[in-house]
Amino acid sequence: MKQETNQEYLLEIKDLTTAFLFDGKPVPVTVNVSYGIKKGEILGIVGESGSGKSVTVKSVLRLLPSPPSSILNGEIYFHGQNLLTLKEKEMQKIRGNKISMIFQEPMTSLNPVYTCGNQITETIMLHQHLSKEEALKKAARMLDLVGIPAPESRLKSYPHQLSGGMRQRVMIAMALSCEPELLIADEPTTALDPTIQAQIITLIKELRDSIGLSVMYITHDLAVVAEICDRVVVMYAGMVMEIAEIRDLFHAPLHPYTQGLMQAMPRINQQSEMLYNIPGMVPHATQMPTGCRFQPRCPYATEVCSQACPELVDAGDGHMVRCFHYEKLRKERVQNG
Amino acid sequence: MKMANMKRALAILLVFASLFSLAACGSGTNEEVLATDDDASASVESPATEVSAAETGNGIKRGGVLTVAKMTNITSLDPTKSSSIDNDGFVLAQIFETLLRQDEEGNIIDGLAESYEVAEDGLSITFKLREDVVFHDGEKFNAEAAKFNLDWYISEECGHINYSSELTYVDSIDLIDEYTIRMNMSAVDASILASMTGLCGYMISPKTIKEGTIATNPAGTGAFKVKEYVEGDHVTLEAFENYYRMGEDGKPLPYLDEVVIKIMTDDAVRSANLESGDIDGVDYHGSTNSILKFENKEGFQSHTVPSVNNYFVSFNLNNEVLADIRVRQAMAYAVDRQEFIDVVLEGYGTTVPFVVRKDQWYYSDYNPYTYDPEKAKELLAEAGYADGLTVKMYYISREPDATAVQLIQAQFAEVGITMELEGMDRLAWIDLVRTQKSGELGFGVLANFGYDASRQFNSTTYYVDTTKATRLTELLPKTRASFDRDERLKSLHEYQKEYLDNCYHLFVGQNQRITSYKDTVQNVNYHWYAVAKYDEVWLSE
Amino acid sequence: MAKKIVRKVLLMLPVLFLVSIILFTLMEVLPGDAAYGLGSDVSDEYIQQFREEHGLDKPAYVRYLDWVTNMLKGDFGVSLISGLPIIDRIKVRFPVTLELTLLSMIVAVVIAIPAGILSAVKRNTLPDYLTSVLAMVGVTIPPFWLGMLMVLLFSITLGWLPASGYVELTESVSENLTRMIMPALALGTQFAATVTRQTRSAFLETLDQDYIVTAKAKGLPQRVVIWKHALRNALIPIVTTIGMQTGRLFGGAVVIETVFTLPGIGREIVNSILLRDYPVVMALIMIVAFIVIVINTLIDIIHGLIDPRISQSQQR
Repeated sequence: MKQETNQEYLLEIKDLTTAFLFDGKPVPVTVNVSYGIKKGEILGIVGESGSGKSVTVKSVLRLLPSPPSSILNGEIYFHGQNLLTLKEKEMQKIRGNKISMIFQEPMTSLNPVYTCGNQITETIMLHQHLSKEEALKKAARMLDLVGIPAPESRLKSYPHQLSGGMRQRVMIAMALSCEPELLIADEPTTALDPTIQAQIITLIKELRDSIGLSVMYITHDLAVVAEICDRVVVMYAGMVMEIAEIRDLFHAPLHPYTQGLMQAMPRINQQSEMLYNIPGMVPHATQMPTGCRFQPRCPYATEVCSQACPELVDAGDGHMVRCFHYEKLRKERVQNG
Repeated sequence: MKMANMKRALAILLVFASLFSLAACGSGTNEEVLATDDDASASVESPATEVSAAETGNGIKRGGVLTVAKMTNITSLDPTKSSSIDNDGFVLAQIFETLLRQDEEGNIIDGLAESYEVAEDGLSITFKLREDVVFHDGEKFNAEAAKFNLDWYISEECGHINYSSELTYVDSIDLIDEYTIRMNMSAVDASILASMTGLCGYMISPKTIKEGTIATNPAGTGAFKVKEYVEGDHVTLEAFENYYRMGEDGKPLPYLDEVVIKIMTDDAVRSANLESGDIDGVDYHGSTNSILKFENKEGFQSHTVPSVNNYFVSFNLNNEVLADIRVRQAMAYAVDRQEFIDVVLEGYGTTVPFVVRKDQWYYSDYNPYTYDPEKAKELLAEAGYADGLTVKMYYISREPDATAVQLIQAQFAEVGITMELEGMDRLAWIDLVRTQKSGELGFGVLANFGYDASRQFNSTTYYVDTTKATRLTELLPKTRASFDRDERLKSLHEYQKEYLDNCYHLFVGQNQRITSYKDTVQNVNYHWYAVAKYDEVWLSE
Repeated sequence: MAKKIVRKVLLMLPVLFLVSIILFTLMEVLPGDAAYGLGSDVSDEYIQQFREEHGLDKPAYVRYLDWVTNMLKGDFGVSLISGLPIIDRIKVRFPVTLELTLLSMIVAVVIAIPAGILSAVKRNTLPDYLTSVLAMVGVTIPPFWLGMLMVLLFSITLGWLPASGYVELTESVSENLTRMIMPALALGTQFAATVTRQTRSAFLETLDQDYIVTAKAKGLPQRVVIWKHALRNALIPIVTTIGMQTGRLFGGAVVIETVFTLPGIGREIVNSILLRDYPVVMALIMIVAFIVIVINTLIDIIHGLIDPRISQSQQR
């Protein structure tokens, strides 16, 4: 169902189809991806590796290298502008400034040969035209904001002198230094250990509360999603399968895949010894099944599922799902209580 | 994948393109095949030839700088530190002069000594010296100076052993008057006269001998004095204003202002520099490529240099196979010398039986060996090698040696001799063949630059284990024991016969050294040991 | 930092010592005598006297100790062939080789690093192909051949540049440079090609790093990403390569000095080995060894300056 650009979204992705070159030929890795993020919300984007979640968000800032990737179709609206049509110079004004991004590997995402202060102030001076001294002061404030002790001396540190958790905080400070409206966090805690993970998550939530930051949070970890997200987008094999409020997603998922993910989550009071696994594997981009992409692994699949690909429909109250049989799931749940 | 292929294709294209353009540029002169005489002596010009046609006094221009390239390093500007006339002579001959000189026939003529007289009993020689000569540092050349030089040469402190073997029969020098000395000998020695035309005859300023500054401040009596010397790179000579010989215009020689002798060891580099005009001439060409390049090239003149190389195969007489004279002689019959001249020297050479040049007074064509493969096989069978024989040849890794040994290998194969080859660097080869007297066969060179007959023959013992050839050591001193040329000829020929009959060396051939100069260079003289003398050279532009 | 430098300098000494022993042993093992170097028409008595005169008949360890103690006093001895002090030769010839090597390096680096960066940034497009092909050709062309080609073209055919000779810088800068430009290019080409390829691959690797994506995500313009963020990281392997190649440059200098008849120590070393002029060989090689070690030390220090991780870890 096509929508006009929805005014309540800060950023809206519409029908985005990106392709990569395999054997010299462009093969779509995301198909018709559509979702939006509202101001002040933390939107989770969940999926296994290969689901296309990272590719999609990278396209927002146009960070995908242009060969081998290409955008076949779609728009990304931000403040009424289609980011995909902007010139590079205009994009540069947005990156790090209006929209910032932090990445998965804090160990390698900071440049090892420059101090943290240098890397933060360079962004500030670029976008806000402050002097070096003013930028440094601001950078110190940012470090303080993200909870780094002794921020002034930390500015002179090199990345390798900091722990993983600290580095990620520095990344966040850097990303927020120009007061962006939107932060894209691409699996920011995956490479950190759980205690640090918890700290970072708390930090992000605080930032959302204190400065009204909007966050697109990409992860494959549903536990994290449960902690932090307001709404969630579930992606599988390059397509959006479900979009729901957090409560709805956990208590009443409508897509067989989401349901499978829920079952696969380890719980503390779990009875069985074996962890549940969704049978089968994620298909490769060049070997996508016809019809619904999840159909080969889906317990509810019928003949129609392999003949046509379902559209993303509104199952009620903005809960979107891409499945022919979602009603069936809903009924089943109600029956099982 | 496609990208990598494209890259590779481009690379190959580029390489071919550059190769073609190089070939196009490089083939400048046309190479006419020169008439290769069997008897190349006809084309050998006698040593005293002047290199140009301009003989009239008119048209001689003074001034200018002559730049030439020298193939080997200069050992030292001090003649007493030099043992090689051939190498250093090229430079020393411009700076220093000798008591006597040799003309093109090898006759002893005047030098710094106007005349000489050998006593009846041959045991003393009186030299009457020129009175108009000064050294570069202002010292006067006179009997005192000459005596000082010669006394020093025969003294212990001088330590130039080469002198001592040449001066071995010199007892003492007497001062007769201001310009006359007498050399007293302990035995009759004909070679002493030749020695006085060589390194032992150089007159050096006594002041520099006393102060020990010969190398750093060379002061001779020659037409040029040293302006600048950069070891291993070049020496710059400038005209000596008080030179005693006059030019055709009545003013002192030399005509040139300066001579620069650059050391360039690589033949291709020399050729390139000559062609580009960076140098005016070379001492001699190092390869037939260069000879051919400049032979008929416009703007250049080529001439034969009177020095030659004699190529030989030496035998380790301690090796049981080679100790058998029949084996050695078989090998001598197995070599096609003419083929060697034609193929390896590309016609620039001549076949002679021994180490003497055809134009020298002591040349003899006594030659037991011709090219006779059948005879070779017979001899081998006699010696017990009818089924063949394997030997090893050691050679110096350079040209033409490397090509020569391959040719000989092929020729030996025809008579059933399998020859293995091993190349090495020059000094290693000398160590093996000369010092240790081991190995089996060796391929080497004996240079002949017209110095002295006895000394030339002495060099034929360098690579022979003389304990196995004692007759040679007996005959050698006899060749210098008389001033009578006919008597000397008898002993020299006897030595040659003894040597060749016993086949101590297999002589393969004698080359022809050619040099080229720019057309503008006039009057290069070769009347002294096949090194060019530039005191009468002038540049026509 | 200063302590680190002092430590590195002190480390040079045992290395030099080891080099001297190896060098001395190698010369001992070579067959052949300096006496024959003068010419083959030397008599046997001459050889004997020569050896005595120059102390060549003393046992090896005595000669070694003499040599080392003299060197430490600054006395490099005299040439066996000419009898003149080697130090004079060094003073005259060393600056030539030094100038040749430095010029080649400068030419190479000035060409190679931008070319390598261009190649990496414009990967798999025409500029990249051209640069890569040229680099491949440059690496494979022997400097000797290239030098001769240049002489053929610029000296013989065009007559623009002299084919040989050397004029000191102090005498005339322009004359010096006219004679040094072809040698520097001939020697520097192979060097430049190697550095280009190394720069390209170092850059490609660097450009693939996460922090480059971060830099881009901050909105930095492409030139800042390349020249600030990528370059300094890529420099580390590039500087290492340049350091390693410098040793080889000295080796290449031998050939180039022959082609262009430059009075440098490269030619001198080869000549002296062929003539078995031991004192000269050993003095020159010790100097070259010294230079190479110094350069490597410098490279280490530069590494420390570029990459804070190195200097920091050593302070701990």
